[in-house]
Amino acid sequence: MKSKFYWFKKTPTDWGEGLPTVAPTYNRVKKMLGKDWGKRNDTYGFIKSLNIQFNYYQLASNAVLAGCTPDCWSIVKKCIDILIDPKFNLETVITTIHSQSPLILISGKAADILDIKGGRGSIGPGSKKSIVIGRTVYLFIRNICNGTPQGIDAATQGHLGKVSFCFSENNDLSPWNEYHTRKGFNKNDSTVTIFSSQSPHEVVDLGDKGVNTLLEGLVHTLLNPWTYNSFYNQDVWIIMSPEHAQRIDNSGMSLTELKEYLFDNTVYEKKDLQNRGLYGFIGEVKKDKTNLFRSIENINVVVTGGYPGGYSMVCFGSGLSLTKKVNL
Amino acid sequence: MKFMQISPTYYEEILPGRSIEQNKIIGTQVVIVNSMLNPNTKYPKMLTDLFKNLDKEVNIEIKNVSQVAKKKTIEWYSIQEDKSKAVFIIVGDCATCTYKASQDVHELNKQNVNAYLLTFKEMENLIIKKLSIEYKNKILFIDDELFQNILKKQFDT
Repeated sequence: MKSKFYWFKKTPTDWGEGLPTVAPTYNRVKKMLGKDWGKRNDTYGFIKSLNIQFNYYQLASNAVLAGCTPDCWSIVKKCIDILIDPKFNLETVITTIHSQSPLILISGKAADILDIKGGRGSIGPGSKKSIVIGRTVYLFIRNICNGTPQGIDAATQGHLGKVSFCFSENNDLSPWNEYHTRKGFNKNDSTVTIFSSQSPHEVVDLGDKGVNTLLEGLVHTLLNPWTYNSFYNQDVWIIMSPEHAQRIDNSGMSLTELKEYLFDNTVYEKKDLQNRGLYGFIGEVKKDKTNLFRSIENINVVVTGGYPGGYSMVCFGSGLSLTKKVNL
Repeated sequence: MKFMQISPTYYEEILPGRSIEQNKIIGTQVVIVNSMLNPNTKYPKMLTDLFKNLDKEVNIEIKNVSQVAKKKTIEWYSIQEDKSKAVFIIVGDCATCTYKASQDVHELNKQNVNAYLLTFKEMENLIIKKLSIEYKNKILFIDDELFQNILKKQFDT
């Protein structure tokens, strides 16, 4: 059978990161666009801060190139809608020296429809469609926004999440409501949420025990002064394993109480921040005590991954998380 | 196979660039816009000292502008400003700041203000193409060995 994959020798190397790509032929792009085919030459978006305008055809070409099938198109469009929303600050996410990339959460039935599993290895290697949706976002940044190290992406090292960082929740093993319902959407809705994240930091707390050491581990990890968060006090994502989430739930602590606990216990003393991280470079610590978070809304908790596993992850980053509803 | 276009096309990237800048003499009024992420680094002071040591007396005004916090291009520049003042925006310890400051410099020159971007060579990729093409001489690299000589020449032209 003739392979649909074209190795980099057959497609221009500057169209991708070097992994195999699917050639964006006319017919494939037409299939990707589906009902949007009639709008193919229409402007999809204009990113004022980058002075970049692109059309439906160009966006769909990148989805094909990344390996997406047409059923991913609605999610891809929603991801791009978030990226080009001025509140997301795309130009900062791309141009900064800080190594960050879009973390994409697909919440709701869309994850089931696309067979994006929230179980073992949910983030990496992930599911086929989570990987290609994440990769489309990368190729959009690369090909449409010129976000390459030779272009305007100045990330010092970057991290592998730049190429793809997309996942869903493990609703079967999570003791808590799905992320999108906590954001006010209906249970039957589907949403995409994006946050500009560093690479994840793992919090290991193994064994069948109470929650005290786990909470201590989370607080200790969060209180790292050498992060952007200690200076800008914006969002953090806590990607919790089902085992950790269940331990918290079994202790009688609700998700809101967990967030309140983390908010109350992540307070820096002046000496913790003085001359450390961005405070050592930009500004002086003026207050005797500084909260890591401005409010508990900055604490985003999702449950994903396999069971067993006493491993959770903390994702620092910059900016706020944006959520938009997907119309499937 | 039919034609495939996966990225936007810009004439400025395809056609040979054409500078539209005109040589302007820097007068005796300059504004240093300190847009370093850390405003206390040595470069703004180095620039101030350089201006103070010129053969002619230069009136120096200093503004601190955070490119990170900035929402719109040249939002810090007042339309009532004296356009004869030369503007020097100094950045370089922040890639995003260089990118956003280069938009400011392009816009100011477009509005007939004699504006310069001062950054590090490492940041060259972050400078918007329109500025590199249309106002190439308005970009000065602080870590260029000849930086001080190049800058002084702007006053002598």
